[in-house]
Amino acid sequence: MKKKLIKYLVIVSFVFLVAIILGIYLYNKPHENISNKSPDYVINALELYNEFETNEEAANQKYLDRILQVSGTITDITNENDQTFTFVLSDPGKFGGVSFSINKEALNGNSYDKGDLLSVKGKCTGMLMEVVLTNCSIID
Amino acid sequence: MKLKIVIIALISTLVTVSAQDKYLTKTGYIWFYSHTPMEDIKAHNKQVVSVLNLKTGEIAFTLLMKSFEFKKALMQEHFNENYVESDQFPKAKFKGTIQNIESIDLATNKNVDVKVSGELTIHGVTQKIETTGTLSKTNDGIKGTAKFIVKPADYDIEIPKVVQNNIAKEIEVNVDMLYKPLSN
Repeated sequence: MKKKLIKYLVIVSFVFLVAIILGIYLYNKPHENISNKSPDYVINALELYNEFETNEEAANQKYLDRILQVSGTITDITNENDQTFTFVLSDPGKFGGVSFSINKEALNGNSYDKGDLLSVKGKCTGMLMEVVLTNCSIID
Repeated sequence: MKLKIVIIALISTLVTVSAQDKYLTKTGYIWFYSHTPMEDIKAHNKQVVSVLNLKTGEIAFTLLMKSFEFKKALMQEHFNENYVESDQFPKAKFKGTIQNIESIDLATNKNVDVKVSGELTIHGVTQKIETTGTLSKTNDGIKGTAKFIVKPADYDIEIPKVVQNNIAKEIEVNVDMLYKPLSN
């Protein structure tokens, strides 16, 4: 009788422990590492921008939260305190495009200028004045 | 001849003046802070787009909800999927005016207190809000800051009973923008 009760208690405690560990793991789970994942779409910056301009709702459905690999020409670079660099990729001379911000460390010592071709991978969060990507890494 | 020169001079002044009226940023910083005895939550959005017209006092903000970054991935998921439902309502906007813009003198390198009122739209719901803020002219551009309270309930944001004690009923929103002149 007693043996059965102990066995029962052990199993319940074990299940309880697993639940707690799972809870702690989920609570502390790290953000997804986008640089290691393969993109859902590989697309040109201006094309992506035009899709959003033509039908924002359809583009949102297609691209929001997806990992995109976007290539284009740098049409604008701004930096804040030399720490955060914001790039806009498009076709030369064209308005709009794709915008993303990146830390100085993520530049890996490279310096970029307007007119350079660049490929970047990141998560699409939607469109404001350009299509915005977050968690970006530059692909050489 | 003299009249022509005067007219040209006048037009060039007007052109210079109007070029200095509109300001823009695409890297504005807005973060919010929820404080409860159970938990403190902060989220940061550094890709806020905002336009400011110093002549008319018009000011507008727009941001993507999915651009808010939380320390905890699970919190960011809950925020997007369950609370603000960012797939259905990807953006938040504010459209308003700075009161008494004519009496504001930004020539000096000082903080000027301002009052802003307008309409804030979050989660598809629009509310009239009013807040104080500061504007100052710096070497890098026009700096604007503000702090105000947002109640999730006012925007139909439902917090499940399970986590009701983890999320404040009043969220403190902080705005920190650096505007550059909009070149036409």
